[in-house]
Amino acid sequence: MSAELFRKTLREQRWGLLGWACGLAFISLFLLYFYPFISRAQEVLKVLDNLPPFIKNLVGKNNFMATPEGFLNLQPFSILAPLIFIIFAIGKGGDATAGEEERGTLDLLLSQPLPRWRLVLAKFAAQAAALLGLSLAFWSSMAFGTWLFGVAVNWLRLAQVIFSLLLLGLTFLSMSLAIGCLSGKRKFSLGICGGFALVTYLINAYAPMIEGLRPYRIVSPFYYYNGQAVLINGLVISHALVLSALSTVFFAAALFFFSRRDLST
Amino acid sequence: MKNTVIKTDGLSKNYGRRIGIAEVDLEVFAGEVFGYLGPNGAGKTTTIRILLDLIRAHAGKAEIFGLDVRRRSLEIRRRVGFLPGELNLYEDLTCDGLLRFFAGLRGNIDWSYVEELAARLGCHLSQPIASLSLGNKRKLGLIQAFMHRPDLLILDEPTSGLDPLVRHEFFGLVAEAKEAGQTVFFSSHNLPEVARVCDRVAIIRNGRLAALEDVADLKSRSLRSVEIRFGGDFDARAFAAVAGLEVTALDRRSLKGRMKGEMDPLLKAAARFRIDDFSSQEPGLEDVFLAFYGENGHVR
Repeated sequence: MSAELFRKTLREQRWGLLGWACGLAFISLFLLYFYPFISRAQEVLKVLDNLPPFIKNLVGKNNFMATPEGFLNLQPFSILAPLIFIIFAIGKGGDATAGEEERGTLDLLLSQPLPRWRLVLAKFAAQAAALLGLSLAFWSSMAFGTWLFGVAVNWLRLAQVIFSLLLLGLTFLSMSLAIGCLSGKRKFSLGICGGFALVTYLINAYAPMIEGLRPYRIVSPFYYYNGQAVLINGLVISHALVLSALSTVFFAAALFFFSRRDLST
Repeated sequence: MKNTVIKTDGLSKNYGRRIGIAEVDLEVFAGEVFGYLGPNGAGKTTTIRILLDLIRAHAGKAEIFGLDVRRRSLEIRRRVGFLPGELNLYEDLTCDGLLRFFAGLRGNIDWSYVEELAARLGCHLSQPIASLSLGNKRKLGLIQAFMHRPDLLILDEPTSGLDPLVRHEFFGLVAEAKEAGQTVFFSSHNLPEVARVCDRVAIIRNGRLAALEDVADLKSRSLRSVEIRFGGDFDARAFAAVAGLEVTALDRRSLKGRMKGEMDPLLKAAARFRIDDFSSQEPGLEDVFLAFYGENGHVR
């Protein structure tokens, strides 16, 4: 890996990363601040618990308001957090090589003594490090919020669900990197990955309610991310391995595509 | 025996149905300044990008320093300085930041030489790249190409966007590189510019190599357009015997034509009359090409 390129890529992301981390911290503190009010509002809970399973499954799990874990499993871990991680990951992965190619900076970069595989590796490593930073910031703000507002949540479980979130982010990062490496087009990569995220999210959300969809749940990265409600039930190692394997396969595909292709000017 | 630095053999590249280059055979020797001349879209950049392994040839082979450009690209790029024709730089960096980034990728850069190059080209290293004009960006591109004193410089349209003073400084750098034994491969669509610094030129047209010439030969065969306005009547018959002159327009007070080779006979013939004005223009590349190789690239 090229340390210079790793540092440069990481440095380019510092302000964006700070912005996303602040956003996640705000969401964490906002939700944790309001949880005690919501948990005391029994009437609201009753209404929510009486919602048809269709709605409850769409947004999260059954019994989702009874405990802090249930509440947090619904929000932010069912929609907001994965959404933020995926937007961050898809944007970065698609930009890694395809962005450089579109901006016309790749010719000069690759005229230096830098093999193509090292370029892809350095970019991926820097962006994965940014995702890790985002995960740490998220865990820290969640842990701080639970302490500050007296919400009893197991911090280890919190780390597990955020680790699962990191793996989900890495899956989409490597996927968008691979498509960017294949096509050289950033928007194409964003479109394909965004579409894939949407479709697989809906499959995972609707599968518990629609018999016909259930077998297809296993194609959704969201199922492996939090299909078993990690915050409540703990990390499922096999699911974490599936996401890790997907990331590895996509990363290998990125290396394969990028080293064999004509680069556009 | 001359050492070969760049050698291509039947190098071909298509973009779909369109020909990028076809069966290009080149040989560039160590220590020479080699011009790669052709109009826009002729295939100059395609050749250069194959040499740097940015794109891959469909047929033929190319070697630099005797190494295959595809398989040994990394070793080649360590010893090559490159300036792209379309230069795009990281707009979020300063000049200093960009050069330090590339220096970090290469290693072992003598920073005092970078500062010397910057001073000679009038490049202020503390400036943000986003604030630079096109010409100043080209200067920065030249610095990064020269800064590691590479054995081979591949420069794609290096003078475009440079003002005359900087252009002069650039030609000085090329001459110094040649003196130091470096090889310069230099693409351009500007014949006088190439003629000024190059030892040999290859002319590429529609993706095919049309000619490989010594610059001295090309100069002696180049066509200049000439126009003489006389202060009074003159005798056109005095110009009939001028070797190399082809008269294209004639009236009582002026003569227009194309002149091949030395100007001396024309000036001596004209000096017999009173002259109000005399102008001579360097030929454009297309004119030279058409004059010598015709539409099909066959030598006339």
